[in-house]
Amino acid sequence: MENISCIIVDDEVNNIENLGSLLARYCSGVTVAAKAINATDGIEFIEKYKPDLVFLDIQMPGKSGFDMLRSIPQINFEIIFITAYDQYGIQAIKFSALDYLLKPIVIPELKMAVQKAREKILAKQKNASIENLLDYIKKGQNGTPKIALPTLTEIMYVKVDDIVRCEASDNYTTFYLQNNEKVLVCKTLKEYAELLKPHHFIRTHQSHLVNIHFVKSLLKEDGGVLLLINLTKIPISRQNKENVKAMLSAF
Amino acid sequence: MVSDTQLYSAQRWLEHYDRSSKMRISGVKSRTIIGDLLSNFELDTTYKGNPVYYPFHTKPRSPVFLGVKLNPKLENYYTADVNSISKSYACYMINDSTDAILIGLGITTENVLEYKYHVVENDSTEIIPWSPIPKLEQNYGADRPYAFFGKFKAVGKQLLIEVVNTKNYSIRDGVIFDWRTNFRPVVNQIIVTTPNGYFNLNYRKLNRDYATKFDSVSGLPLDLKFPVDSINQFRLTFKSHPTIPYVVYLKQDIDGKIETKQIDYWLLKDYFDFSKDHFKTPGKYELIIQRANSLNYYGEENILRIPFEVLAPPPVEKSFTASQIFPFALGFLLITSTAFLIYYLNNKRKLIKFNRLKEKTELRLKSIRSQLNPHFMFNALNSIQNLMNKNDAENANHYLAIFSSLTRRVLNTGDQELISIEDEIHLLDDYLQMEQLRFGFKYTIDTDHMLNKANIEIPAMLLQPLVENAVKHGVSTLGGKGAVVVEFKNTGKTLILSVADNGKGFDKNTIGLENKGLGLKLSSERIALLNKIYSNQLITMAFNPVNSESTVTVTLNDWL
Repeated sequence: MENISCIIVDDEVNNIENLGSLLARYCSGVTVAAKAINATDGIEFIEKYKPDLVFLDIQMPGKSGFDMLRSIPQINFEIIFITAYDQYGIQAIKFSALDYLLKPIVIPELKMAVQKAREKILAKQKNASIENLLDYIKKGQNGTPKIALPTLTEIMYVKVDDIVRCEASDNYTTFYLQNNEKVLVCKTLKEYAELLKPHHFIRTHQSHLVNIHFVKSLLKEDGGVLLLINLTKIPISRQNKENVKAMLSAF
Repeated sequence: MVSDTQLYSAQRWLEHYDRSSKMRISGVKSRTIIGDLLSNFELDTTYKGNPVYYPFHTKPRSPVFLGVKLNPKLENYYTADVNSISKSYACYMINDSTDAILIGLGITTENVLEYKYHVVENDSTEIIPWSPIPKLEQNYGADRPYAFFGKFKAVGKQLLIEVVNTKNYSIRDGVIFDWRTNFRPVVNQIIVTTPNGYFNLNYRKLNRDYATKFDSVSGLPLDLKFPVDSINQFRLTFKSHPTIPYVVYLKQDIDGKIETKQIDYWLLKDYFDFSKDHFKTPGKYELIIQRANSLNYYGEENILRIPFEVLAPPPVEKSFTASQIFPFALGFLLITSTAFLIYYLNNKRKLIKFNRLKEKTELRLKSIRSQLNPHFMFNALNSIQNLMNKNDAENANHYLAIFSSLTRRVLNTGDQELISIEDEIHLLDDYLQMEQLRFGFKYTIDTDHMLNKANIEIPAMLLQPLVENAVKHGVSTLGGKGAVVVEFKNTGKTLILSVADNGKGFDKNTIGLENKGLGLKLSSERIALLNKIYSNQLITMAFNPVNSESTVTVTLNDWL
């Protein structure tokens, strides 16, 4: 197995120590090149050691993990974010389909994340997701960010405003875009329902998520159906009916 | 030649004149009358064509009164007087466009300068302002001069001529000449009184469809009809007509039997109450109102007609069977119970809202207090994970126990507003131990020996956010050099709590709360709320930032 080098950036020595010992014990072929206890050190070590992978704590006093990334001109390494509790940060990371670990660290998750990073490093994929993440953080939730959609062959970056609706089929989700394109993504609808909630998407049904901007009207037939601008009819389940009505009237 | 017209006018100013007696004033001797009236002489009068003498003791009612000469052929000039406080002015209807001459008896050479007169047109324009008497005259065989005001004519209009003694306002008189010819009554509104209330007939929303069409000019109903006994009376309100008495006729057509009767012969009021006594029987009716005179005397343009129909009562079911009534009764019951339910729920909701408001302060207090920063909690767990991975089982156990103790204390204080100082110290100690594991600083918690730690209670978790702040913004980056000191002291009745750290300290220039982290912001909010509850034990918070050290002091006044 080819060896990959990494840097750990975290403000707490315990956390660095802990992650170091977990990597040593459970992830062979990963060398910790340096340990940084703040973002400034992190930038310096990244320049110096040019690691393949950076474990990055988001919440740090002074410069946060995101701040650190923003001040690095060229990001040619993979990142695994580490956070104790940061709702907004996690939202941003998920939006860009990046990997993150929660503290305390769950060993199988660590192994899986390192494995995925290793594959990307070996395939020498360009890390476009980081750009998307930084863009998202810059614009905030009020902007019109792009969301990363990992398909079987690539990662597509789609403007949230271009998504008309999403439909679930088992563990996959089909995205219907404004240009009539369909994108099949290997994640569940539930995940996207939460992710897209701040961007005016309504869960009308266990298998349907609709961008409220594309809703034409609420039809009364069959106990409630949403008619979209493109004349598609989307069912509304009984338990979601009140919620849908409330969201439509509030919009 | 003096006509009867003048005599009528003279009559009004004679006291003791009695229509029922046989006294009459003769036209033949009229000239004499005019002269003598002013002299307070006994009059011998004769009735025209019936020369019988009657003794006639009389005197003028006023030192001045007006004499009027109209066209001798004029008919129907007699109409209602108009009151001017204690006086009463005569009014003459001149419907043939002829002149009216006005003279003033009692105004003589001696007193003419004391009198003034003015002329008002249509009760609005003073066409001759108060002026001296134009001239004196002595005609018609009068035994002394009298005032001559002039010959008046204003076709289609009404003139008021008033004369007044400028030295005594009570000596005054006036006359109204009316050349108008159209006296069709103008109805302002019709108020309908029913057994249950009243409404304006013209108000379609209320008028029960008794009238649906109205004349566009007069506003009068064209198709008024209503069931018998549904209306107690109509009140017709007229445009004021002080000089024009009205007569009211009712024409009724009941089963082809047509009858017309007079129901008022001298109506001067501005309203007419038309009672249901007049339309008790179903049939067709017409209310006819005009200037007082016999029907058909005036042309149609002077007549107000309101046709209406009294409908037979709707057929009434004699009785209802129980099964017929049941659905209605059920419906009624349903409606009343629903109304009551709505009322009840509404009240209940208001009560809940009020209680909620009351509890809000408490709830907010709780929600501000009961949070342990999740970032802290998960990082603390991560530190314990590190001890495990270092195979330091003893410490891993120790800190896991402290973490449990801390979590338990926070959960337990969730519904306790106050806890003892002892408990608060335990909580802070647990918390600081966990933070010490993460960042490696030193800390002490000092208390006055005199303080009864077990029994004095303070608001739960009051200091925790301040301690968290001291760690996060003060000592977290200092490692082993960092120090936090928590103190519980008392001076007299005041309890002083302080948290000091040797971190960077607050920037004096940015000492706003928003710059000092969420912990301090929440603490100030909480103290503000506590002060609402414990309003006579004021709690204050002070920041003492020094370059190498910051202290936050919370003072609980009058607490002990």
